[in-house]
Amino acid sequence: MTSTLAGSGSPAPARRPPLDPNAPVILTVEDLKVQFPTEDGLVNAVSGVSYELRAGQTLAIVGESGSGKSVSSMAIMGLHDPKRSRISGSILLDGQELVGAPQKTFQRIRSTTAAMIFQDPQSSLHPLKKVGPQIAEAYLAHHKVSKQVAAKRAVEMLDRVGVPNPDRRAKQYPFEFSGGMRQRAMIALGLVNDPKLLIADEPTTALDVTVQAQILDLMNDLQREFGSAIIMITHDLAVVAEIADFVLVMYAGRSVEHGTAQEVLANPRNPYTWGLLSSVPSLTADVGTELHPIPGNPPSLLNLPEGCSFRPRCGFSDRVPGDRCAAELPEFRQVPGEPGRMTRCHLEDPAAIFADEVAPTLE
Amino acid sequence: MIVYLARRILLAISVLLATIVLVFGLFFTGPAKDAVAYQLCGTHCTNARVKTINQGLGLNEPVVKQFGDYVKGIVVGRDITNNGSFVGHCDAPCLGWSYIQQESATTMIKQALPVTLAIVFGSAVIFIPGGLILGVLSGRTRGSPLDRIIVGVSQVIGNVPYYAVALIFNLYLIFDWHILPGTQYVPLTQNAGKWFIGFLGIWIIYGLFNSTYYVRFVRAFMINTLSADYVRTARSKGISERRVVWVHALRATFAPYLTLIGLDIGTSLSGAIFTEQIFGVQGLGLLAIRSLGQSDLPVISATVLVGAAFIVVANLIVDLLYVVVDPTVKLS
Amino acid sequence: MTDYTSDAVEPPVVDISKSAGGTIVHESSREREILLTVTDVAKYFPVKEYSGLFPKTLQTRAVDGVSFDLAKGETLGLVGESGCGKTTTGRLITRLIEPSAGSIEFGGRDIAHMKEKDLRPMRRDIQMIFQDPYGSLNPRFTVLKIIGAALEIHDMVPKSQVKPRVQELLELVGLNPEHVNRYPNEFSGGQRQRIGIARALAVEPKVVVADEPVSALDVSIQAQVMNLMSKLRRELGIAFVFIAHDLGIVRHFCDRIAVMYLGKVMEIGDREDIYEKPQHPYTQALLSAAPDLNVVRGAVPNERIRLIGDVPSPIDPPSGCRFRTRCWKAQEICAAEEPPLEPAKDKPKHTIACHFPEVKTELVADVEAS
Repeated sequence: MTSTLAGSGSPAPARRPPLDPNAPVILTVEDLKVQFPTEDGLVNAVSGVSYELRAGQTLAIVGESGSGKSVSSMAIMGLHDPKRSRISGSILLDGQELVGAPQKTFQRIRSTTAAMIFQDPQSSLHPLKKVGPQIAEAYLAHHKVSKQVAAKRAVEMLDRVGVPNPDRRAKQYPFEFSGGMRQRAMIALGLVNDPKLLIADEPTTALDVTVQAQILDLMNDLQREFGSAIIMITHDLAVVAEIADFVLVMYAGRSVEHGTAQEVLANPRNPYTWGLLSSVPSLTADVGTELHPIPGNPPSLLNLPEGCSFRPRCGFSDRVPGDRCAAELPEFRQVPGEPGRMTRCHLEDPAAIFADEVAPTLE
Repeated sequence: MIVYLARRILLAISVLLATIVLVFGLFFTGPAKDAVAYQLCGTHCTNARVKTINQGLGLNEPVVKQFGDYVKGIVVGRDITNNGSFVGHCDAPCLGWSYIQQESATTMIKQALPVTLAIVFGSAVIFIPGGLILGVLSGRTRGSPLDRIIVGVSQVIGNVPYYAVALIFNLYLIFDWHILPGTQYVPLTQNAGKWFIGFLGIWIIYGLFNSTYYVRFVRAFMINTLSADYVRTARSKGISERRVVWVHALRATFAPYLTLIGLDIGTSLSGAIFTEQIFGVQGLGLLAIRSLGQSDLPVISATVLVGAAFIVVANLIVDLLYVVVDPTVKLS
Repeated sequence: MTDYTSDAVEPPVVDISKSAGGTIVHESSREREILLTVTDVAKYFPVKEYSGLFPKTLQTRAVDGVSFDLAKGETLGLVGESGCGKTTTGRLITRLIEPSAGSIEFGGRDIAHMKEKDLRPMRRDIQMIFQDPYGSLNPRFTVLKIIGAALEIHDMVPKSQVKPRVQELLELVGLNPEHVNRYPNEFSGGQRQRIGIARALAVEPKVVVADEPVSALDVSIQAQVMNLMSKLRRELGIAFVFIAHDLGIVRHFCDRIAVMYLGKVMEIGDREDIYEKPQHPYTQALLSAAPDLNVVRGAVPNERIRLIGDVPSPIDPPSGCRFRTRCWKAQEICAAEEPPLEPAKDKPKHTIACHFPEVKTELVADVEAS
């Protein structure tokens, strides 16, 4: 019987290699907005997102449903129907501006520069096509090679992502795969053209916890091997802790906090991030204490509140003088005195408030 | 695979056998058992006369014996006798004997069947690809002028009863404007060219009408499929949109489309009454209607049996083709 | 950090003896007033297999001999991965389905095979909350009708009192009592789950079976609903069977936890037993696979146990111990003999179904040695 025992207690963040600050920038997103006109009005799915990502780094985009985390990432792939969406701002992928780019451009960059894997591996693979050819097709689309060469490449990729008997498996249909194996096949499909950026949209949410652990390990390993930058879209802060170098927290279509995973999860500077952390019961915290949920519900994207979108649910808006939170949308700005950290909040001294009032409740 | 085939064929055969029992039970026992006698003696029927006729034709025999004869007729054919004297021979497969026409129902069906087959399969050549292509075009350009036109036209045509559409088209396209040639039935073996021209108008009108229904089905299915996760995956591979639509999305449409078409064809093979009437060709539909009018029960039962057989066979073919288009079916 | 080296012996709270069938019976209920006793309960679902000329009927052993009990005011967590039978177990307890074998004792009677009309009083006492707050509420009924129907079926209040009582319930679960005439689609996901809870509470149940009640909700809303359930438990003394895959939430909410795998209970014990001194390899693997937020707060990450492969099919489960095909400790005996649920040394309330149970400290030592 075999079992792999990994991780030997190295200091946090334990499962990530050290960061290379001089790695080339792969992706710069600036003030990205995505709107969908509907019968009920204009849905502001994304109303201002900015971040930057370097080669070999993993950025986790965290938020609840309706935060715009998936919508903003799909814009990078050009997966929104141009007739049914309005996109503005800037997406600079590997030196190329993608906002307003023609479909031809997206066809060229998809799978080669940026690839995407999705939440539900069951529905994300074509149910009536064999797994190998589905992977090979992506390779064929960007390489002038024979079908045989592409098929061989598909088998090779299945092998790389830990699918046993890749030769046989390539000839099987997705329904003959288990959930975890399907997600491995999706990852093989994502990496077949060696993309510079891999976007993973909740890749483990539909999986069981032991399989999730396998997939997260695999992604960490493959990143080391392929050197891709990864955007990991998730709602699970614990997954962020396992896999991310940087975190971008989104709320109601806007980026509200950005920093290294360590900084954001251990010393967050935005009241929404505080709320998220307080909502999650940890595996070690004292039991019997109440959770501290964020009161109320997220705002309607059809009709965002004036000023800060989080203000109606925020317990700290009274610390900001005057009616600024209600009147004025805070800018996504650097946290005073903490270079490299960004937050969208009017609070003058979030560090002190966190240390004095929020951190004690998280223990 | 072979096991699946065998199981399906076995199932089809047992359904056919059950149908034979059912048809016999419905038409030759119970309230229907004296129908032939009433038909022969017309308005002068007395109970005694019915009894005499039944006796002469052997219709008073035990049900089991009669059923045995019936089945024997289907398998090897049988002689029809009245009071012991020979009336005629009903060749296998003998589906019944029309005492009014003094003819085997099988012969009558054999005459009508080529017409019905030609109508259904000829128009299928139009409506199968027509429904698919127009449906895909309409679905992928949802909301565009092209989509609106396709949907609008198919709605208008599809919502008018078929006989009205067929009649109007027949009057304008064929009689008035001479856009399509006049319709008639010339046996294929006699003159292939005339056979083709004679059916052309029917095929186009019947085919177009049927397309309207399939267009709307394919369009709805396509719109659903185009937002499916695996189509999004296909798109994110960087393949052309044409390939996304015509390879990935269309592939998923095949299986349900095939089922729908297969079963519809099976059903329409039992006769296209309006088409035959309006375009003046004698198919199974008119045969059935005429027999109904004459209460010619043996012929009616024969048309029912043939119709049921077509549906069973169509089901079987759909099932077998399904294995080709949907690999997941093997296990379930 | 948890100190695995100390192995403090807790005084036995209740006397426990092992019955012949390998089930645990609480002989004394000095401190625990037992409401529900599930003994060797099983549920097999027939599945057709079409490999031969004629279809064969096989059995999916969704639940295959599960035993536990539930005391008044207690919360029992059922955890495990998909296909482990936790949801089926919940449905068996509420008698939404009939067990294939075993007994379910509630209120002094075996309800396992009781007829629908005899079940009615028990239906009031055991209520269920479902995962999908949308699918489980009739979209054409108002909240008043949804909750009112529960009140009327069981004659909880006179007709004139239905509306005030519904409003009272809405207030209890944190909804605006004025929204009594609204339809489910006018509420958010979290609010709909509150409606589901109010409906369950309307008949004043003794036991609530909650099947993944918060897993469809966003994190911030999850916490709201969990707090509500904690409050109800505290104030109304309702016992919960809490089915969930989120180990953090289960730890937060449940006193006792049963870990299930392939239709069997692998380990059952108090929260501390399961989370801090798990002895079954599967429990250890499950816990160590859960990602840990504390890594970034400087905590030393858990030793990760990586399970290989997938859960076997419940149609043809492995012989002996069901976990053996993925277990790193498996030996010959594991394939030959099914380990019974047996109490841990000095811990009568902590039972494990494993031939080689051990506390985690030894596992860590193994890793260091290798």
